[in-house]
Amino acid sequence: MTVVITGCTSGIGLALAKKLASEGVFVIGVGRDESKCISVETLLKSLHPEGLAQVITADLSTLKEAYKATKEILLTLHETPLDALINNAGVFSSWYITTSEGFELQFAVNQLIPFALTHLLMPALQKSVSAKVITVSSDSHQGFKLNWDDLQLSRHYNGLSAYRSTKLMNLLFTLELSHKLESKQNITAYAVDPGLVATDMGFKGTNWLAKTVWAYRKRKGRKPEESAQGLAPLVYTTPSPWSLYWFDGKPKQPSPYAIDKDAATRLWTELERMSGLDSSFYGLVG
Amino acid sequence: MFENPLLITGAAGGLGRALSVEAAKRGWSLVLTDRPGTQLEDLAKALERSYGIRVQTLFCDLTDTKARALMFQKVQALNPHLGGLVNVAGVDFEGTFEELQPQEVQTIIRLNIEATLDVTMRTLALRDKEKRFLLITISSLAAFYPMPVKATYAASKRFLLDFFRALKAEMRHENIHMTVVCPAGMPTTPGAIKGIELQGFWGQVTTVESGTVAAEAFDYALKGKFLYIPGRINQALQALSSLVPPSSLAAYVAWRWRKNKRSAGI
Repeated sequence: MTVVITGCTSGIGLALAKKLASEGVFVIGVGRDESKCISVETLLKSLHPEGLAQVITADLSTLKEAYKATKEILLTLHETPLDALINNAGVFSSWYITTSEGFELQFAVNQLIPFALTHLLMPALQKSVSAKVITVSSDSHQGFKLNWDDLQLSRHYNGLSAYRSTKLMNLLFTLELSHKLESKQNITAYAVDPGLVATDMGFKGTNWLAKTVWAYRKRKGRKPEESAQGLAPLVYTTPSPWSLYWFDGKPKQPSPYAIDKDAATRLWTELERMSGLDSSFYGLVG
Repeated sequence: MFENPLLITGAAGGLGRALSVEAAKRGWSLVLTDRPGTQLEDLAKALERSYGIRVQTLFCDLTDTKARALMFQKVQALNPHLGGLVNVAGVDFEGTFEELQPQEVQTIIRLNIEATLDVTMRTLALRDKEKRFLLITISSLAAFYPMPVKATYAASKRFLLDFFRALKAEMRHENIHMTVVCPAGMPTTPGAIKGIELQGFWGQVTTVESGTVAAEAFDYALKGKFLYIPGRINQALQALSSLVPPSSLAAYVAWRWRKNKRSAGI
């Protein structure tokens, strides 16, 4: 079994990569920091029964790097099937920062790139007898609505709103992806609530106020290993009946806005346009 | 209404990108320029896809007179007319006047002043006089104060403010929307973010994001308002400081700088 995990050098991604590797899964991880990638690869290899693991260095905030990373992944897979893509890499930023491609950083990392990776790895996923696309969302999407006039919140940026916005997008993306894959029974898409996890995400690129809030959150948060524990069953099995949103291996109710079919289709169209990727082949038998 | 393309200099930087996105969102086709080696192409492709506009990219070291002339030949070859100009390209170097290299001082003046005026003159010559023309220039909040340690930079930004104020009056019967933007530092690079965070509370409340500055710069220009100081607190501080004699302001800035330097233990 082969699984791609983005953001695999810390937090939930690392915990999940360790767990899966020790259970014999060939983990292909993606991380941003080269030295961390090297040490995590060594660690995963030591956990895997046959010493198999690979960690690719790529800054998944631009489409350019996403292309580069998938090229390497496909080279590693070498025509073998990909059984799961776990869109885990996420970012929080207190400031309105644009990537070199002009997209707002959180929007790019948390939604646009997962969309692109899913697209670019779709042919490999289609080869699997039972493939999964799992996107790490968050319950912070609850009670939030997308601002269609300004999806990337460029005019009135607020870090937390941008975060909640992208986490809502993760659910809408998964909803539309499921719809696109309907005729293709062997690929299933899920969104996951990892719970309140003690990661350092909120300390990277944030202001003092956010850091204070995050420090408090972190004290109350649970270990990334617990989230990984809850997430792993979805990688292995296809629970029936199908459910969009999961928490600790159990279906969970997302907000009413997250199951708005029209919004999901509209977001998908926007993502296709922004990335220049056409997903009309998803439902076709590969 | 059909608009001729907008030329944006310094388009690959933080504020340049935000302004390019804002212009694209409003439907302008663009001619983007920045130094060789910047990632303009990635931005151009993404903007073309996302907003269905046409984007042309040109690499040019604007401090080079010949390179500027060559760039405008290329601009003119593809665009008989330009619909406006956003002057973003600008530079500053860290250090006191004595610490700076002579070339660094020259570069500040060549880029911030000489290149901006030359590009403005050449772009105005390409305007269609039957149509409105947009002319936005990024100055700085530093334009209002003589600033020790940033003496050349602040004076160059003051130059732009005064120059365009005069030009606006000179060309008041032309259909030109002229706006000068005087922002405080924006959190667009890790260095700038660190600087703002070091200022603590005041850094936090006086900071206006590049996305907001970009959106409002176009609002101001299209309404025909000349001066845009982003942020109410910055506007208030500027109004208050205008009552203080310039030499006292300069003395205050220098005192604060020495104090910060001492507390940083340098």
